Amino acid sequence: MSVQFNVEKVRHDFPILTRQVHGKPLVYFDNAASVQRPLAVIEATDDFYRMHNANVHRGVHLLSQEATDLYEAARRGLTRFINAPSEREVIFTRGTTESINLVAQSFLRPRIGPGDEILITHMEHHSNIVPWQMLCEQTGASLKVAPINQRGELELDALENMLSERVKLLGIVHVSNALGTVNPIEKVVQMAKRFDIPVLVDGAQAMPHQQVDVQALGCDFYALSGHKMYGPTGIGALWAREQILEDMPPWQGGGEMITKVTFNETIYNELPAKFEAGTPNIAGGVGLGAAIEYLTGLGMDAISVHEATILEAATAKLSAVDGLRIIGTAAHKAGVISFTLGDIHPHDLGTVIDHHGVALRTGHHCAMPVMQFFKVPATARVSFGLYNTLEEVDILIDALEQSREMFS
Amino acid sequence: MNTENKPGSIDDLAQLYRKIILRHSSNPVGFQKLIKETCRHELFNPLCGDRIVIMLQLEGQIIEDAAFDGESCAICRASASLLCEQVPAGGIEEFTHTQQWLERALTSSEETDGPPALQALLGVRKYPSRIKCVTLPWTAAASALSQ
Ligand SMILES: Cc1ncc(COP(=O)(O)O)c(C=O)c1O
Repeated sequence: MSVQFNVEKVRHDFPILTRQVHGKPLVYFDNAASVQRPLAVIEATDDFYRMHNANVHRGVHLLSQEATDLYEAARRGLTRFINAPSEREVIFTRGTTESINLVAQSFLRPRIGPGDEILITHMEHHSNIVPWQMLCEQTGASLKVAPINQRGELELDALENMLSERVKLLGIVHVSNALGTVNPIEKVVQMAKRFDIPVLVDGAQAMPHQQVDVQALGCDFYALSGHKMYGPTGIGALWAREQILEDMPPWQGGGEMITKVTFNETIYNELPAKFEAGTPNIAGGVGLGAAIEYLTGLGMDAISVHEATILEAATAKLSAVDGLRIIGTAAHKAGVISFTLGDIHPHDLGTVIDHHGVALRTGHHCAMPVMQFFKVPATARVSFGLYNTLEEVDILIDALEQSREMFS
Repeated sequence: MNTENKPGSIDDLAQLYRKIILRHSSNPVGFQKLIKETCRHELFNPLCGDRIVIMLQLEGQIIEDAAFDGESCAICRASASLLCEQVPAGGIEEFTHTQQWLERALTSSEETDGPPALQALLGVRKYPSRIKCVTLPWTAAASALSQ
């Protein structure tokens, strides 16, 4: 490990972590839903509104130039961060959900029809299921689902058998938000390439936990959300290969995405503007840029190592809690532990745990098919961020033990 | 933010659960009970994936019997159980009155009257994210009746 990771020092970067909840110090274990923001991000957006606020790409005045420079610097930062070959390939969106919908409607819709298939996996977030279902309804194509096993791992052989010329796109989550499973994207991409199947990766949960290199992954589309990687809400991105983006029609029409408009004809703008109709979330982009600088400063590898320590310790300690069942025991996991505790409903558990200052998520985690697979209506889920500590894991365990007593 | 309703303490919570759970969670009234059902309605709580089905036996304007099914948290279960205990032999109008009272009482501390048996449910006032858990069975029953 080249970079020394000092979690106590890092915690000072997050103002919210000094908050009390129900009179107890906040233990924030709901990072898979949305992480907290470091001061660097809060200050970057604040500074943008105080000093540089104007629309982008539109004015000759100084502020507009500054806003444009800051926004485009964020795009450059993200391009480097995911090792994309060119800034032209990085489209700012509202987040993962919008990125996937963009691919569904602009890329796939013109290329698909009855008899064709879209392949996804059983562990997808609703945002990588519903846009494809909608597209199937619109086009007569059918949705196929690659199975998972009892550990919550993808069944690679079964997936391979489902690949064929009929499959027009494979959508797969990089890190599952409900199970924590890390999928072997490179391997899956290699399989898909034999049939020239484009691969979309839902990277929402991978971005905060590990260094992502889209070229090494070999996929064609990578979708991500700013708010899962320490940036603001309402900003995210879609990365796709330049040639693919060039061949795609624009998705939404409006300002920014054109070079010339008459009532007879409109000429679309170049990449990436072609896919960015209307005034974007400029401050959000600036904040995302700051988040990327922050993460780069800490080092993604150092973050991964720290989080793996927390995950391992928490897994061991949770397993030792009487009646606790971990849902999702894949060999390769990141950041997430889903569980049930005896027959206490997760919703009841969540309310009690909250009173111990511990924020966790209960419910189906926007992955209802995963719940159906494991035959549970819901789970409790703890998910880790770079600022979590081993002491916080102990507080969680304590809170769980006390809850169990309360319900017994 | 409602400042009158302070967030509940862990003791409030323990008390709420003790009251509700002791009577209803282990031995719910009407759970998977076979009745001469004339109407039913299924509802989901999209927040947590809970599912509740309310079944009613209606004769004229009288709700003769009630039963429920589904997978849900203790609060929702207790609320459904109380519904099945309180509603039978009463009229539709009376049910509607109670249901509307419950909705109001859960969001305003000014509402005090109402069936004594349902007062325990009002402990949920202090936990706004859980109010839906209480109302879900009652909303389902209202929908069943309106079919
Ligand atoms: C795996 C995964 N995919 C997609 C999403 C959707 O992200 P967003 O709501 O930011 O569009 C999430 C967020 O919950 C997620 O965890």
